Amino acid sequence: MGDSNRLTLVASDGGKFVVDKEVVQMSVLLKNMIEDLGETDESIPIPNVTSPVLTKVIEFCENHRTDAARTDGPNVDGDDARMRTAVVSDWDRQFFDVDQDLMFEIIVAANYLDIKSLVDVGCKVVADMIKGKSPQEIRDLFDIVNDFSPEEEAALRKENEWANDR
Amino acid sequence: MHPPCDHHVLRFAHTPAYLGSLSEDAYAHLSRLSMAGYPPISPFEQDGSAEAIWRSAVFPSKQITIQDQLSRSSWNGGVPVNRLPPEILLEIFQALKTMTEDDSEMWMIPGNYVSWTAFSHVCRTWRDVICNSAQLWRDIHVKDQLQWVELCLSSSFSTADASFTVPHHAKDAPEMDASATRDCDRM
Repeated sequence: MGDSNRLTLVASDGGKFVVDKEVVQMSVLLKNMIEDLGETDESIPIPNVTSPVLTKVIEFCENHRTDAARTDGPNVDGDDARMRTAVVSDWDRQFFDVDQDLMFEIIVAANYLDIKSLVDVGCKVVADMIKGKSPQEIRDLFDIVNDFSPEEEAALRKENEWANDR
Repeated sequence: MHPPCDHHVLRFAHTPAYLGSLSEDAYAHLSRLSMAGYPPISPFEQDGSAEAIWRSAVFPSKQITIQDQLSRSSWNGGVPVNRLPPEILLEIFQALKTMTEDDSEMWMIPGNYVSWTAFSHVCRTWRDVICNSAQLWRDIHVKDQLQWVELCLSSSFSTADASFTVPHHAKDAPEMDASATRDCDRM
């Protein structure tokens, strides 16, 4: 019989991670799975998340494990208030100081695992990256190409004409 | 060091020295294009940006066709940021709206865009998310521009209801009121 306070997560590439249950329970998806499974030694597969991404997700949850009690209650203020009030800490900012591929994979994984605090922080970090930038600067930042037709572009220019007249 | 997995796709078109000279981002784009069956790219035609690589590979004739537009959208579907599901993109836009709405310096950005609506001009994916979001258009803070109110009213066509906050001192307040009245069943 293993340690009942810890369990094993298996990433999509087979990587195994032994983690405290308290940490894992920051994920609503995993919390529900643990409750359904009851006491078990079975490892939990995470089929949509690779080892490098799961490593980062666990790192975040371990660092924020004491926050869980504060955010566990009902969200009485709604999503907008939550986005308005919470500030991205230096640790969180450093946590997301990774290449874009990994950064977005972490956010996708957090969304899949239903880790609200990680999704929120990720969204705010991305929002900070594009705040104050023009559409072309954002395209350059994220390697997006302009896929509007000439007709659509003309409509967009017209849409913004009033601002140019100011 | 670039991952070796895509080299077999690229080796016919490029020398190892050329491939080695590319930035990681440029190499990743080249790999994606090659995997998608796009023709080889001349090393003399690209400067490493996504736009330049895409243009030289897919758009050599410099003539726009519907297929070009579709392949541009297809390219955009593969970039990391657009792997985020629409609800997460929306959460990012909502965060931006919240961050900039009360900040007079951030409200307008270079190019004279109202900050958070500028994101609807980035690409079709982002525009679809923004224009179809009831959440974003539900609560609009108006400064003093009548045209801004009209743009919001026309852009929020898909939302069931909308709320506009107009400051007392807005110089176009009566006209804004008249514009909003036309849509009063949604207010």
